Amino acid sequence: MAASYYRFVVLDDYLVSYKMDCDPTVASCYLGCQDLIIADISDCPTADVFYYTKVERYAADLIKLCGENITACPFANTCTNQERSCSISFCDPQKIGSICDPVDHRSSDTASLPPQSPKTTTNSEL
Amino acid sequence: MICYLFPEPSYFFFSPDLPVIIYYSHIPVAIIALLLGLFVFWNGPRLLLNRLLLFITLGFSLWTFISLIAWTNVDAGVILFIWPLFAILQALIPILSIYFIYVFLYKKDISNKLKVFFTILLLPVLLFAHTNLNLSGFNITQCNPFEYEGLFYKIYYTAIGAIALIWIPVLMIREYYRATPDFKKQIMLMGIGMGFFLLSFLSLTFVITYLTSIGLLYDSRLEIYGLFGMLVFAVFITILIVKFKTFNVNLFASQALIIALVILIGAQFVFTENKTAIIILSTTLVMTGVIGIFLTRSIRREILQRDELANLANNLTEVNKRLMAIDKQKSEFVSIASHQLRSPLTSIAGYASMIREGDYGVVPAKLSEPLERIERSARFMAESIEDFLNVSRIESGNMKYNFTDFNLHQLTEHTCDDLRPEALHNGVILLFRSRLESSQGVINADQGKIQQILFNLIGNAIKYTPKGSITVLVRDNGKTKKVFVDILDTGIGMNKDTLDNIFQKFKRGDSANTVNVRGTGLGLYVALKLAQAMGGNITAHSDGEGQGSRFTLELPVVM
Repeated sequence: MAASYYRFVVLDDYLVSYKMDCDPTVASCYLGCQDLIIADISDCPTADVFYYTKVERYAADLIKLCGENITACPFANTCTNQERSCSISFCDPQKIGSICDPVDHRSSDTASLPPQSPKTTTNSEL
Repeated sequence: MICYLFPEPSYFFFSPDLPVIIYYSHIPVAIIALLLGLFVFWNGPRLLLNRLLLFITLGFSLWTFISLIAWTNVDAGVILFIWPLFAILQALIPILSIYFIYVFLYKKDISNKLKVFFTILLLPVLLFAHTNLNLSGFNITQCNPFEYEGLFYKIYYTAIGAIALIWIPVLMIREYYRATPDFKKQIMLMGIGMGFFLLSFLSLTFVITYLTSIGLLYDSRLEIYGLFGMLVFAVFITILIVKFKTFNVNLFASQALIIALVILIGAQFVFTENKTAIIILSTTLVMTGVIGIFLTRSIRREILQRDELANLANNLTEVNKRLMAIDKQKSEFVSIASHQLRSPLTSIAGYASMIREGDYGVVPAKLSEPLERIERSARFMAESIEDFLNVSRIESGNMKYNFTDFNLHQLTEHTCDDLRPEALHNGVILLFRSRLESSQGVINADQGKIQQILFNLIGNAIKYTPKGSITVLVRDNGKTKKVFVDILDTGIGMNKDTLDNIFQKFKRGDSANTVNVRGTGLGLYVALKLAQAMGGNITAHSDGEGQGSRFTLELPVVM
């Protein structure tokens, strides 16, 4: 228990993953439904549909950037070079189980797309 | 890190978003488990079985407590800090359960080898609990670390649970066939209770959390139903305590019922927000508690008294059995010892008589009296031994009776004739009278034994009558179809205490010593037992000391 306390509470030595808002016009986003009971995304009311990306990084690094709460943190959806590991994953329709936006909103303005998607961006690429 | 989509709990446990079932499945179940474990431990803290049950219930309650923290809290650090405890407890509880079942079945501690084996099984769970093998991260969107749980570590500690689920039934089934009928019922109850608890607790928690971790289930709240298995276990443990006094606990059904009632009423607070309802609930809870305390105290007192009486009765039965066994051994000893003593005494008396009568030549006059004393003492000892032998035969059921029809009137008259010289020698007149009105006085009995009784009764009258007379009267009663022999004397008589005990073994009249009469105190006992064995009876009557006595032998007459 002491070792757990030291690792998880004192050092914050663990990965955190979370969903961040995603702009479907610039990236391939995952599709989610606000209503958790709805299993099939096609049944979700349009108002409840949201787009997201998945971020995974070390808690200690994130706390340095954002503190304990990431809701108002501008660095929550970007990786920095100082981090041990950080990845932002976008939806890959080829990947089984991924629910991506069926409409490609990016076709009208591909030049402004930073970065190319679908892909996973890691801090080593930044 | 804070789970940003969820509200922070109030008082560490209360989250407005969570369904009420979360609390209902956690709080009352943990309290019941804890109370049960503490109650059993309190009643027998030295018993290993009780201590193990306490550890199991403590482990379960702790699991439930941290589960509630995990459900309600939004701080990833706090949840991750407590998370390894789930694995440790989910491995520890099955091992404690196997240990518990061992002690329950075999009534002794397990071997050191088995303890070492259990420790080795647990060691990897303890050593790697805080490492990435168990846990590497946290999803702050869903507010759980399921997807970061190490699969091998999870499989390992779950396998310990699976081992318990196989080991325990095997042990119980094997012992079930060897057990006594009473213990069979206990094994059955314990098996159902423990099986239900482990199966629901381990399988549901594993299956649900695993499905959630691989994304097939989004909501892991189904696992809470696994906790209700503890309630079933608690019910079966309570039945074992109430019905079979397992764990050496005197819990009564009424106590269990009131405790359950108080917990159920208390649990209603979780659902109630209305102030009036809370006041009514509080009043009901207090009243139930107070009435329950008085009721259980009263019932407890009554049951304890009943148990005490039952214990006393059991002890008496046991003591009685032992006394009967000792009495039988004593009779056997007396029989053997008496046979060994009687033979030499007969020789002593016989030779003393022959020497005194001159069979071995002329005996000097001064030797005549000592020889007579030797003969008399030897014959008295032989008679005493015969009494002992008779008692022994009667009590061991080995007395033989030879039933024939004969005339009691004639037998009594002849006995009087035989004893008259002795009576005269003692200065007492022995009279024989007959008043047969409806029969000839014929009876069906063992003539030798009847004569022995008459010798005893008339002989006693002669011994205990220093002066006066003895009247022997034979009479009958046509209505009761009985013939009676009354022996009336003007002797030393008896007080009431002596009369009440006169037919008991080794009892002699309080005044017996005043007339310097030797006796074993067995003659009347033997006479009564012989008369009773032949369908008759002997009664005694006296108006008091110095007032004489009347002994009456009654026997059924042959018409």
